[in-house]
Amino acid sequence: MKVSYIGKSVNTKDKRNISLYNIYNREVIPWLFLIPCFITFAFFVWEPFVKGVYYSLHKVTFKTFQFVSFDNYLKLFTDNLFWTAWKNTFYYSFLTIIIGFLTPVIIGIFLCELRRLKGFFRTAFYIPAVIPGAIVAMMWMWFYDPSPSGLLNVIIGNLGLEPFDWLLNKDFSMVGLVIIATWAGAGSTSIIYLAALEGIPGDYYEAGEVDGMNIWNKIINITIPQIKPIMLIMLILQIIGTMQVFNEPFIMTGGGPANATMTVMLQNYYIAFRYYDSGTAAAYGVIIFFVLFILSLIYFRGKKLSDKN
Amino acid sequence: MYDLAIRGIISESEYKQRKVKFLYGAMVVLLVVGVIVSIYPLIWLILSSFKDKSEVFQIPLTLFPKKFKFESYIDAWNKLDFLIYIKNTGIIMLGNVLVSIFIPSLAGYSLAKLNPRGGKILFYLFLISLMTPLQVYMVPLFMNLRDLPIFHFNLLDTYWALWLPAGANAFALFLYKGFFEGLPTEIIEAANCEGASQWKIFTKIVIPLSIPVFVVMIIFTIRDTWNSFFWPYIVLGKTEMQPIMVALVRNFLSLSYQPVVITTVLASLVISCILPVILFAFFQKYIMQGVNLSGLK
Repeated sequence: MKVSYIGKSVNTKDKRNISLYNIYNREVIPWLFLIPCFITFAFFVWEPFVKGVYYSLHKVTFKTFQFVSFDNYLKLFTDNLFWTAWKNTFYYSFLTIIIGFLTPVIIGIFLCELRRLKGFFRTAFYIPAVIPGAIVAMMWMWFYDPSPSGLLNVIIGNLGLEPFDWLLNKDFSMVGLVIIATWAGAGSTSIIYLAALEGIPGDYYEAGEVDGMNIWNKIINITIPQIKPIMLIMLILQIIGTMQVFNEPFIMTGGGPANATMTVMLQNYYIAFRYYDSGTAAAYGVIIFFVLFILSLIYFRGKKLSDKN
Repeated sequence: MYDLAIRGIISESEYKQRKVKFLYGAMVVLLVVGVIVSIYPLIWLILSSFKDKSEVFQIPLTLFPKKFKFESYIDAWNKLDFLIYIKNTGIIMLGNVLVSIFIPSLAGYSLAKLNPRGGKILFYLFLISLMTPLQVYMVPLFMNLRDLPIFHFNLLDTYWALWLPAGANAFALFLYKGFFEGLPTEIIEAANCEGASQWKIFTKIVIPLSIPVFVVMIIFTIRDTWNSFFWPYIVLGKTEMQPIMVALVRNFLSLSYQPVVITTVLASLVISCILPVILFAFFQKYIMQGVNLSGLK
């Protein structure tokens, strides 16, 4: 890609480079273009972030603003709910990987193999992703209704089972949330895999067949290695994304039966907006940032290693 | 139509084998099951909203309503004040669209073509912003909105608390930047040699060439504004100002405190899905294009 900048002449001795108009054109105007965005980011992203680190070292409520050094962090680290929230969040991530990571890959492979009606199936799988997240949450909350007339209970009742308390059941509630997230998200992810799979040159498969590969061999030796980079990206995006889960637990369980679905973001929200303890909430944000930062580092490290191979 | 250029794992000759035909059939069955799982809940939702309210929980369950009743929709529209909330969402949308068309595009163009001094540092700052989730800095952001630094305005309970942070859209910035980098510089250089000012170049040459990316941005913004729940919920306390998703959730969560007819609630959910579905149906091409333009890192 040829990079070319406007208003610059390559010849450094060229008098045109020095004229006042050119300086204005070259230095001032580009920054004028940047200023609105810069101001917006400064006010609403960068300054809050720095202020958050600053606040995390203070006790901040409506009346007080007092330096307490690492007290807020200690308060979090000694809080049982804090560790429960992290455990729950990682459990949620883990469940989404078990249930929701391979499903789009398999759907993608199947869609790629389809000889007819590919467009219909593709659209049909994508439709759940079109529904707004809050509506998905409310809809499934209704399905998960624990009373005997709740939809899922009636269905399993027809199979002869007792009504189940679904989201009120502390062992199932997290799984229930993961099922909803997978239902809504698997379709759109599978489209991404489909695009990647359709990009695999047919010659690779031809060469494999000449070598006598059967279907299973072809999948293992050609398909999977070709989409491995995308799978890695999606995996780390999924982990980082699921760590931020908020809408579903907030709308559907509010932290769940006995804090079974209390996630990190949800607890952060409660500390900030129910208890108005801004200092601790800011500390929470810093901790979350560090964890995500480390996860990203692991990802970049892993990518570098796999690129070397 | 079977496109010979794109082929799957199964080859033509393999497909003739009986075992492979069986596997292919099983695969299609699984896909059909998948489609049913994906679509059935939505069909159930839509059809149930047309049922008589006693029929929804009736055992044995019926899928199709015995009689189609539209009262629930009229009821939902009136009782839940849809017009007000849709109007609110529309106002927010307008502001968001204006903000996301002008602010990130100028910056994206500057970074792509104008090479400002210190541009590289800014680029990395923007990139980091893309990777930090909102929850990390949402508390101090909220406090900034409550007491804006330097100006000391209280922006809470106003729509500015939604519009202004919408300008800090790093995704939009990189979308624009990527697109503008793809524009041929020769045309712009030629105009520059003719003595046109940068602003004129941007408005008269670049913008007409960039209609696709602006259309994609508008569609994304409209869709995201309609679907947005979290930030409006936190920032807008007054119920008369809330956008549609917040109002729906607030209404839904209060279900347990008052007897509300279930079909009315279902109808309200269905009504709220209409816009995203229409956007998807008509603009699917642009949405897919948007995915291509942004690319995967």
